[in-house]
Amino acid sequence: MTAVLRAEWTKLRTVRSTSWTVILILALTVGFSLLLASGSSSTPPGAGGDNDIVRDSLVGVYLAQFAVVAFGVLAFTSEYATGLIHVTFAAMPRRGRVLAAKALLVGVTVLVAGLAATAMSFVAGQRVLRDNGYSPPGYPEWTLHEGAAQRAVLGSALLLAAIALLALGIGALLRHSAAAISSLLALLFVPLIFGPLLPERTGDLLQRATPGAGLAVQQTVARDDAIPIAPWTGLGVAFAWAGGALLLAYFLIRRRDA
Amino acid sequence: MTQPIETLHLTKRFGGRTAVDDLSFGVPAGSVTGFVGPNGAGKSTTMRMMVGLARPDGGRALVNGRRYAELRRPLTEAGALLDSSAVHPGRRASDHLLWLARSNGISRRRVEEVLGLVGLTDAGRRRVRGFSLGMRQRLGIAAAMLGDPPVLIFDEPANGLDPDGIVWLRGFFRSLAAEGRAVLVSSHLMSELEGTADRLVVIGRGRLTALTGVAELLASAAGGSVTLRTPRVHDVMRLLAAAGATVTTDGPNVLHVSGLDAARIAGLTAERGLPLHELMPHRATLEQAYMQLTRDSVEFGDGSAW
Repeated sequence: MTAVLRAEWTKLRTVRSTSWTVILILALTVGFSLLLASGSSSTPPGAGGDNDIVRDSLVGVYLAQFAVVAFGVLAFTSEYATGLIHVTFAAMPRRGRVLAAKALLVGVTVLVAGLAATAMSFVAGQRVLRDNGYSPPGYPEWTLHEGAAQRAVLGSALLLAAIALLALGIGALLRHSAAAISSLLALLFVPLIFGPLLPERTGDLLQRATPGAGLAVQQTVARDDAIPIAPWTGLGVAFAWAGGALLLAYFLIRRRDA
Repeated sequence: MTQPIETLHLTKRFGGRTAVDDLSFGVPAGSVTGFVGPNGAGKSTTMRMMVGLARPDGGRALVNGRRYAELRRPLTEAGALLDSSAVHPGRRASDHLLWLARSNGISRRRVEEVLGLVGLTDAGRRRVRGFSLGMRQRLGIAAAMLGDPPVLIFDEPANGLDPDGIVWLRGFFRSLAAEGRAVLVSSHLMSELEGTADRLVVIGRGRLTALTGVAELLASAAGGSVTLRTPRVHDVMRLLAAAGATVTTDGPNVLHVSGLDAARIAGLTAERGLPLHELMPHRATLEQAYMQLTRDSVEFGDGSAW
């Protein structure tokens, strides 16, 4: 297994797209969060309201999901596109191990980059929001010492890792970049966009049962537009999707002709 | 005795079509075996089953007596070049070889060695995107050689190579065989294997058509003719025709003879004291011998046509 891990790690670090992904995760998460935070203000300063400023400082995670989907999908589909997968499986005939190694490396890479991104995004975002009037007494000050803030920051990074693993699994199953990426984007964003337009029960079910439920991990205020699921449970739904896709990929990849 | 590569009743179906049909042959060590057949005959599918990429529907393909999927460090047992475009364009050539080396516990030093072996030392740090088809082919050969394997499998390796490259490739295959390795080289062009292969496995529509040594095939091929020059054209013509040969002429003093070999012609003319200025036998080319072989097999193999 160490040989397979070393081989897959060598692959990952010798293409530019990996460093681009890390940069994109950081830039999209921090950049988009700060952009929205700087455009939002609470007047008069210190007045109360029901804004979820923890979630608001991490809103860039929505966009970072795009980069993560592409990264996870391409880890397999780029090999199918070039035929490199034949070389990979000829060198490492235990295909399940190749999948496991890719999952571990892609997951950890996204988790580390994601955690750096969400921590920076949270700290900088809180400062901008406070300066824009989201300040005590109306809005308590949030720091990384508080449990709910830690859950949101760590949970968002874990969510990105779950999305990457789901993407890896779907990529291995579908073997075509465009097909895999478009089905993932539909899966992630259709419930967000159309969920609120559907009858309430159907819309809620859609939001709870799709991987986007993982975004609930950022929520600290019960608002109307919140995802109707408990934070860790929502993250669990995202990981269940990832696990299901990887398991299915594991069985298919071993049976199918490469 | 088991041979380095063996297929036993190997069969593969795609939907209703049988791509490889009950194919059994062996590839011995110390020789270059040409694997020949028209496009779509099942050569690539057979090779993909040899290295575990496709699952046979029947029979087995064995490398060093075992199924490829059971090999723990497969690159040290069999090297294969199936498709030279199968590299990530954004990766440096040496990094492509490095991950392959890592996957089978092969040292980093070996990467430089195989780059040198195929003449890519200077291009090793370049990204594969900028490689010509011939350079990619060489990179694929370097990858196959990484584990210094006793078995080598090449699918259409001459594709995209320039004439220099093809000459180099022939010498390379011969030296691999001389080192005692078993080399299997597929081609849809018989002429590419002339002077390279010792043995031939010929398939058509997934079935074994012929399994023969190149020397035997050439010797058995009919259609060899002899060209000769003589100042006594008419006498020689009459003499040889009487001996059963077919004789034609297409220039002053020149005769083309078929049906008699050069030794027989020389003997007959010497008996009559007829002078010969030149006596030149034409051997059938491998291509011609192959065409004859496949034509025969089509005629004899497809009984329904009669």
